[in-house]
Amino acid sequence: MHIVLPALRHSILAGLIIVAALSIGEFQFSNLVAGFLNRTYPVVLLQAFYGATGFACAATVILLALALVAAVGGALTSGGAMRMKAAAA
Amino acid sequence: MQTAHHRGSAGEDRRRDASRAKFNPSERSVTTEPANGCDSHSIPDRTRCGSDAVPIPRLLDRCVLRWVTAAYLVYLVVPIALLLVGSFGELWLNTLLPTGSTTQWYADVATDPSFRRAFAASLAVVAITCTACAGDRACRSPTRVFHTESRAPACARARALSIAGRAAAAGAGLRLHPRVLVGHAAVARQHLAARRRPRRPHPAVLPAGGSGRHAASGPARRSRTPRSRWAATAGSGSCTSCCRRCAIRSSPA
Repeated sequence: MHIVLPALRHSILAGLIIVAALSIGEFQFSNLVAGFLNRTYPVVLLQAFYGATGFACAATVILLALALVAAVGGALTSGGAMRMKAAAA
Repeated sequence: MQTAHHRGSAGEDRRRDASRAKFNPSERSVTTEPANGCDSHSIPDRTRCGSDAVPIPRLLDRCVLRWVTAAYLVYLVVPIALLLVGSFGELWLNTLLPTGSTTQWYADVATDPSFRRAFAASLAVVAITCTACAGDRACRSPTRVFHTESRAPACARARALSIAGRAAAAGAGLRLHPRVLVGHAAVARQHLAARRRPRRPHPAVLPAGGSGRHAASGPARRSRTPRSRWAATAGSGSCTSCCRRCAIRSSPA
């Protein structure tokens, strides 16, 4: 337990990241895997497009805005991390 | 069988000869170009100067490709713009653009219970993943977040919460655990603050003069960086009162 889990650490983290990205990015596997009470946002968004157009557009705009915020935040954070690495070197 | 085999081998030979003849000019240009340069007259004009060998007119290169790029960007941006227009439009029925403007759709999304639940589920997935990664990253460099006062690395708590986060993500499905999330957020904030803080030795060893360095202030080559500016003023006092790590590493220089 003390050896296997640390050795598998990177694989577990990579799996976590891939699962999180899939659960945000697409709805087919999420729709298959998730139960009715634990549907992710894209699954509900897909079903909203069968209803009112404005409602679905608003929900999609929220998702796009969050993706934009995440991209900008990731870019700023990576820039800060690179500056810290350069200062430490 | 033999004739067929012979025929096949002859066909292969012909194909190989043809391919060799096809690739011959390029091979010759590759082998002779570094020796003679672009101005050599022994090389045919068609293969002389790198990109000029490609028979693409400059008109196609500059104008048409620019227009194709612009059209593709429009093709990418127009759906997003239509989403924005449609989300603020009141009624979109058999018209090119919606009529009227309202923010009612956003209010509907914010109050819809299924959307709120789905948003919380997606946010929980991302939060658990991020905190697990942050805890693992902090655990890889335990010396950076060493607490001299509590004599215990802060990494232990992060490791425990990281394992809890992985277990929550793997075993408990998407059920929300507010206490785990709050604990993750608190430990992540603590780690970020500890990484930004300059490494400062214990106050008990500061005023003692001398040229020694505190063990917690890092290696000697980092003394010029602002992060370890406390190392320049740190004395060589015995720091057994500080922590066990200092007592082990500090030498009476």
